[in-house]
Amino acid sequence: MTLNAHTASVRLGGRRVLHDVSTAIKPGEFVAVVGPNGAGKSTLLKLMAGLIAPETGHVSLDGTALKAFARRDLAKRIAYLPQERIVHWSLAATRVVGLGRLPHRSFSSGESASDRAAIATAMERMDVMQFSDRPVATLSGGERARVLVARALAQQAQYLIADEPAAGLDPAHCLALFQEFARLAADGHAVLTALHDLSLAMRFATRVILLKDGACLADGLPAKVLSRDNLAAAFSIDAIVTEIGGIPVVMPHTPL
Amino acid sequence: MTARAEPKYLTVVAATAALAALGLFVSLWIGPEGFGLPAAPDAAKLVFKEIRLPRALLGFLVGAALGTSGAVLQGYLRNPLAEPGLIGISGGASLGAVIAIHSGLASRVALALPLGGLLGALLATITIVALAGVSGSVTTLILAGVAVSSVTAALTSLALNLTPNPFASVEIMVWLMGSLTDRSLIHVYLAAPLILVGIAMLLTTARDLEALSLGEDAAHNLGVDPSGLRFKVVAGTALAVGAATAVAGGIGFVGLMVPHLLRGFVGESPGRLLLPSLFSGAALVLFADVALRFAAPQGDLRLGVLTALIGAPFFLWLVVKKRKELAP
Repeated sequence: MTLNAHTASVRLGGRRVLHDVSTAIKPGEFVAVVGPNGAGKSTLLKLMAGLIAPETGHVSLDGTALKAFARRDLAKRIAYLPQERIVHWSLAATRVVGLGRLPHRSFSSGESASDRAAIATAMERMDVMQFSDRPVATLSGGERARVLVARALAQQAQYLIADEPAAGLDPAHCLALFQEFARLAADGHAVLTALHDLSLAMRFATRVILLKDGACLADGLPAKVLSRDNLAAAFSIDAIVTEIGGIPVVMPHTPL
Repeated sequence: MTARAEPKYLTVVAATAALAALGLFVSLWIGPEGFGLPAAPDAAKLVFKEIRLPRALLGFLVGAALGTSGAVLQGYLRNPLAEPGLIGISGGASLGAVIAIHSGLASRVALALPLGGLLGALLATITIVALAGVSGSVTTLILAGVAVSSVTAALTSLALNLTPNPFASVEIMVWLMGSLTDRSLIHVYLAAPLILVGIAMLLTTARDLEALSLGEDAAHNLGVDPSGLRFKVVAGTALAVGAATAVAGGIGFVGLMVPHLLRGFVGESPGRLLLPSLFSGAALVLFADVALRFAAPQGDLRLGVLTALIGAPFFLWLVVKKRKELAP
């Protein structure tokens, strides 16, 4: 039971974006991908979601290559939340969340009781119930982001891959989001997310992958990966890595 | 814009279907002389079978093709200004038909005109797919469509320009304006299978269009096969709109207006827009064609001109409405 990338390289527009990356994600894990802009975080997430094919190497789920899956079967196993918060048309929030049920139902038959239950649970988890009938165009950026996370949750896939899901969320909803991801992982899901908040990665993730220039610089326990030396090597920053009242804090303070 | 009560989907489908059925009925029963059919049974049979029936059936099919294709293209390109003409297929069909008239073939061979139109649509489609690729981005499809539209428009003008015979020039111009008059059941037999297969293909895109509201990556993750979807959109439009243009000429604005009018009734859902657009497109063309029989009993006002006359003010109304929505 793993989502496995083996010596995968990706080339986009002639440029090599990922180079010989090998990693595996198992149920129960909450993996944070960190790294500077352009390090290949989003590309790694898309690769693991089966949205782009590796140039060399391969990506497999439970031993079967992702490209061998029917798209719809893969959609039931892996949910992907893009970084761009796109909603074309002014759909009501409930309907946006309901799009996460598309892989599970036929379009003509409408939503079943289990579809509606999944939608309601996802909306409750993301605290967006009160927006049910509101067209998403009338929501704020952070509210819309929460509706879109709820869409990915409603998909009820075992693997959840989310690209910077916390960007633009207020502190309360940001913490709630990471608690929810940690809870999902504890429940036997696997969560893979790219993010920039190193303190959150340190505190909530069970594992951190540090990328730089398309290569994996470090992969392991957060406390080990997010060391002062690694942060200096990856981000060219000097950082304070400490704990305040038992809560880990990673505070970059000086560019090197 | 605030939340508003949205009618049930089935109610919207049923209401638009009833509207289309009414349009079909009215189109069959109203002629330039008023309601009903001629009193003499032979004449009645002749008028019904040779004039009314083909006209009503073609009106339904052409309107349904334009409405469905417009809704699908707006959803696929995620652009409310997309319409069937945008991707160049109707331009190709028009050019093919114009060449058939220009070459004199249309006056010698009975079905040369619609067959020329179909050939034109086919060539345009092949060109668009060759230019844009089977799985390229949405932008390349629009660019290829605009390129093909420009070329066909230029060549249509050239054909018109080089036509030595003023009668042929008039014939070309009149044909370009689009019409359902003087079509026979042969035209229906020729176009109906293509239009129906095209519409069926277009209707199968509903789920994919829903997923596409979240952008291409999220749609891909939700199970959309990008190249399969593009095939269904392009081939469905080519069959439905290519065949519709080949038998009826250019009828503008229907594919643009109809999805706009209905979007609010289905909560802006691009997949739920398809069936209502099919029926409303049919209803719009049928009622416009009936209106022509009153406004211009001699047949000197063309259907495409009337839809454009309705369409342009509709656009003005759209601008005013958008401005009010966006006003602080």
